[in-house]
Amino acid sequence: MKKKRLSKKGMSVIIGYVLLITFGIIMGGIVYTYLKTYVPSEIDKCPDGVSIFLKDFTCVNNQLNLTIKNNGKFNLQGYFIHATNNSNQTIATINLAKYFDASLSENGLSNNALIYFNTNSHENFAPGDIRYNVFNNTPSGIYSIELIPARFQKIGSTERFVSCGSAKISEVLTCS
Amino acid sequence: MNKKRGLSPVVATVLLISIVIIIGLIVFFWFRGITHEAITKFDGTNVKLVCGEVSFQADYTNGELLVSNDGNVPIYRLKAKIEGAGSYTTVTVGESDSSWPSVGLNQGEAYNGALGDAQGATKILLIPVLIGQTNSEGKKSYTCDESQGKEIVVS
Repeated sequence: MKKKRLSKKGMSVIIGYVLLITFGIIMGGIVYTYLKTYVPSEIDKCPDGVSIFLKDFTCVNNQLNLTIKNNGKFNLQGYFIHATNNSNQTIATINLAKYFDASLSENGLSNNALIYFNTNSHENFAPGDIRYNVFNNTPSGIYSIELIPARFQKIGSTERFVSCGSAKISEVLTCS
Repeated sequence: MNKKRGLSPVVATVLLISIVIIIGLIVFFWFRGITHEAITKFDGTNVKLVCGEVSFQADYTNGELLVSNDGNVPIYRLKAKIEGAGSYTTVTVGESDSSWPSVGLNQGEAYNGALGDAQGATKILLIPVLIGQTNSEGKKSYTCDESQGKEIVVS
C-alpha cells in the first residue's frame, strides 16, 4: 500500500505570520505604554467667573477683621490669605491662616494653610454670600493682603481641590 | 565515508531562534539605555507636560527671594540660575532651608527666604523642580525646562 506523504510546506508560513503578529503586538504595547504618558489629561483649573471681593476690613491692635463676599458665579470652599509688611514687598508671603480665630468668626475653619468654610464639600460659600472672618494676634505692620479663592472642581470623575490663582485679589490696608 | 550533510534542520532552527533572541535582547537593553523612563505625576501624566501647568510668582528684593505658588502643581524645589557680571552660579532653593516646606510649596503657599550667592546678580532664572513617579525608582525629581522658568531682573 502506498503511504500518503504529508506536506509540511504550509507550516512555516503560519509560523511566520504568528511571529509577525506577536512581534507587532509586543512592539505596539511597548510604544503605547511609553506614549500614553504624553497624552494630556484634564488640568486642575478654576473656571472663569470665580471671584472674591473684600467688602470691608478693620485692623486694630493686631486684629484683622475681614468681610468677604463671593461675587463670582461659582461656589467657593475657602481661600488662601497672605500679607506683606512693607510697601516694597511685591509678593505677600506672611501666611495669615495661622492667625484665624474661628470663635470670633461668623464662619470658617483654618488648617493653618487656608481658611475653609465647611468640612462638607457640598456646603460652601455660595455666590452672593458674605462671610465675616477674624484674624487675631497677627504680625504687626501689615501693609497689604492677598486672597486666593479655592474650590472643589470636578475633573473627570473625581472632585479635586483647586486654588484659583487667576482670581487672586490684593488690597492695601491701613492698620492702626 | 562521512554521510553527514551539514547541520540538521532542528539544530539550524534552534541556532536561528537563539541568535534572534540574543540580538533582540541586545537591541532592547541598548534602546532602554538611550530612552529615559517616563516620570509621571498625578494620574499618569508625563511630568514634562505637568511642567507647563506650573504657575508661580517670584521676586527678589533686599537679598530675599519671595515666591508664591498660584497654580495647582506643588513645586518641590526651585533651581535658581544666578547671573552676575561674566559668570553664573546655580543654587537649589529649598534645600536645607526650614522656611521651605519639606514636601514642596503646595498650592496657595508662599515662601520668603534669603538667596545665597545672589550678591551682585543681574538676573535670576527660577526653574521649577517637580516630584514625579517612576515604575523602577519610585519618587524621582524632575527639573523643568529653562523656558518654563521665571526670570527676575535684579535692579
